[in-house]
Amino acid sequence: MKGQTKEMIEILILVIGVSVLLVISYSFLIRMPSTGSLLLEMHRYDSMTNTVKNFFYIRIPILNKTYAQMLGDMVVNDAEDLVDYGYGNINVTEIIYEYFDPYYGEDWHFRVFNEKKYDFGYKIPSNVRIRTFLMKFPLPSYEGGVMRIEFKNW
Amino acid sequence: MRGKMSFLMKGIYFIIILVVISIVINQIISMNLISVRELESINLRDRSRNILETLTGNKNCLAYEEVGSVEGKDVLLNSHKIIDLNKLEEFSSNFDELEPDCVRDFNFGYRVKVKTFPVNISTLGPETINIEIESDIWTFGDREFSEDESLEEMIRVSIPVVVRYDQSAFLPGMMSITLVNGELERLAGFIEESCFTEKESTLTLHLNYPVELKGNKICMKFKSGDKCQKLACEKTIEFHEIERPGNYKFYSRYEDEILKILV
Repeated sequence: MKGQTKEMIEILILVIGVSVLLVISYSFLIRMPSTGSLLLEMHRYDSMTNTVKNFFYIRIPILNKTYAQMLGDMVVNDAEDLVDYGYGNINVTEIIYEYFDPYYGEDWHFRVFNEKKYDFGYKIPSNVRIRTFLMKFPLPSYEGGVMRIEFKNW
Repeated sequence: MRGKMSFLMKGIYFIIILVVISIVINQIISMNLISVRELESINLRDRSRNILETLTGNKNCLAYEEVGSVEGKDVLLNSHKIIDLNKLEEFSSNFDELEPDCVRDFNFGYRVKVKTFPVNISTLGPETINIEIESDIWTFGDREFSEDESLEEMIRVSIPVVVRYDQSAFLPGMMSITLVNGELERLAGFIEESCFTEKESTLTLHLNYPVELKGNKICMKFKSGDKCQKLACEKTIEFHEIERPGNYKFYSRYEDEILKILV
């Protein structure tokens, strides 16, 4: 009986050990980000950087200004929201919201760092994955000034 | 009694071990299946991105070609994801039911949609200017796709783009692609590829629904009705109707100016 009990305990330990190992390895595997989700994340990041870079190319007829020019003019003139090109004031803040909203809904935040900070967009949540894109943004000045911009999307 | 008890207990433990081993094998098999499916999905996503990149970056597709000046010489520049409106109009009328020539895919089927976002800007001051531009939509590519059991996977991918209307109007937009992997797409791709190459080739395919050729369209007969894909092939095609589901091996042969698809 002694030998039999010993044998049973050994097998029991073996079975429990294998089960524990299985559970640990399974939970580790499902926590690992899959290649597919990493690629999807890369695509989202790429798409975000292009959305910001397109700021330099989008040109509004009649005004004949790009979004980047209007934002630069607003910052250089130390204005809050408005820039005057001689035919009334243009609300640059409104333009920025109108541009990013169709792409990201309320899931974006755009910050301009110069002598003072300009914040656009919505409140950044704390419990989700946030993609951030930083870049230097040229300012319309003869000295070749630049400002820093930061775009976040979640 | 002692011996009998031991035999019974050993049997129970043997069964437990067998169960554990079968769970392990099951896990390994299901993990492999997941990775195969994931690989197919990655392949499809990768392909859809390649198509979008080619469409926006290739001058033979939709890319706006800008003439720049470098050291006094004119240089052609393919600008950053800027789509030429004229090319877009041309594509949406010429390729309303077909994949465009510049980026044809013989394995998958796809349809592309380009949508600009509305612009609404007004100036504040004594003289008010209102700039209101409505959203525009263009589409091109295959119109109908595999359904139900014949559909393996469908994916939608979008990228931000800029559409150039004229010198002073470059508007924001989105280009989206719906890429489909299915039986109808593979069969249509096989016929088109054979038509272009004029070489003999084969395709082994499982068909879940009957298939027939209607004019220059290959149609699959679903419960909801026929779904057809126009073939980019100007040759006469000979294709006999397939009435029953099953595994088929297709052979293509170009003879006497007729493309023959044999089963």
